[in-house]
Amino acid sequence: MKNTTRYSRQIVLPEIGVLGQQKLHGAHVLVIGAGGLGCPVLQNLAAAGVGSLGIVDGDVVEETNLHRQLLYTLKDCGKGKAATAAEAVLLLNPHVNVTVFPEFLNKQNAFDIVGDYQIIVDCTDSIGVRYLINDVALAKNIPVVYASIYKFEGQVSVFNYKNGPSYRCLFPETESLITVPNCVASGVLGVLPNTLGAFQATEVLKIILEIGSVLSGKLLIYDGLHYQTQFVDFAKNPAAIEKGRINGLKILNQENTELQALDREAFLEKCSQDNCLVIDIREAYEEPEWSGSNVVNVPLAALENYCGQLDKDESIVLFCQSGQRSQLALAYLKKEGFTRLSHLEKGIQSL
Amino acid sequence: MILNVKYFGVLADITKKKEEQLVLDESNLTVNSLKSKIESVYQELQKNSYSIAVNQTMAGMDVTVKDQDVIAFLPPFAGG
Repeated sequence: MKNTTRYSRQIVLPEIGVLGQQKLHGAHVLVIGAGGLGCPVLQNLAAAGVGSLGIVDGDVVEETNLHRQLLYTLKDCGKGKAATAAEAVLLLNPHVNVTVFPEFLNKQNAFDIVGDYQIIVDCTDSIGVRYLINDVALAKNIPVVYASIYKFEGQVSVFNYKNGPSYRCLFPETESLITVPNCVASGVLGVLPNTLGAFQATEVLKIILEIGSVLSGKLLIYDGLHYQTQFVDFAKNPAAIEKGRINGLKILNQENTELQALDREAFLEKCSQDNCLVIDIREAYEEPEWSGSNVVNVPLAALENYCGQLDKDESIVLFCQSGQRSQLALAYLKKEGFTRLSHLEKGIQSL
Repeated sequence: MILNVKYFGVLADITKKKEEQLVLDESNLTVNSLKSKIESVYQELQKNSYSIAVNQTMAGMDVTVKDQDVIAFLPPFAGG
């Protein structure tokens, strides 16, 4: 750590000091998702002198991101988020060591990416990946600093911190189809993720510095529209933790992860095979329309009834708009005993 | 008894309110029966997954609620 002038205003804090600054310099933090939450997290951690940052995001910058994702500018549109964020972070603080993972976190790559990072910051935008992060973190025994947002509201908490409660203790995973969140974007106030991301960065710094009290076993709920904050306490649920850990270890050992997630080419090939049933589980009004001799439209809510008439050894391909609902439908059918299932991983919007 | 019920995220969109006061004939009931009661008024809630807190603490379905309790209906948010 050569340059301490940059950090002098925080080194002067008795809680931090030169020793604390060295702890920050030696820390390895993985930020999953470089969007609304990821941008402020990366900005703040880099500025504070966190020595090694990993950035995971398979997305590209779009103009609609710019009202809230302040690491990006108009000229970045079309470029990969992870690499662009890394460039912006290095401009902010060239002494930070940045590793770019230009891909979405999934079961196949999760353990390779998480590697030796000490803390995961969950800045993703899908519930499925949040469970994946939770389970991987349980198997690796590292903490997760979580935040999520909805319109004007946000939630923050720290999971798996010193054997504390996990995401599954707060929100147990349900396998019934009625709980599926839809993929329709609900909109968000641009400032909101920046507020929540700053909260996450604060928790990360406290964990590294071992100061203050960490938001473990507590959910902070923030409402920007009415300026209300509140805390909800939640306890450790040993069964939920065990479920997550076992699931994490299965993923580590690559069990049950045979090729079920189809990319564009594999999906199109399936669509051309007559011995394969392709189920569009979107609502009838959703676009684009997708037709074919082996394609049926069975909205998710009707799937439970519909699947009763199917042969459990039939080859079935599921798809929806973004891949979230089809993933849940796949898990449901698997539980029902179907054996040859796959789904279009990124949804019809990826074609 | 009187209960103060708060709704968060998409649940507040469904009920079209952030909070409401419920006046019930029962003197105590479980979180589970309260959930069923509320879901019969706002049926769209049944399509969502959420946790329920009683007086700022996450509660299991068998916890008993009592007069003047503050109940929060909390869904996980996906956005980031």
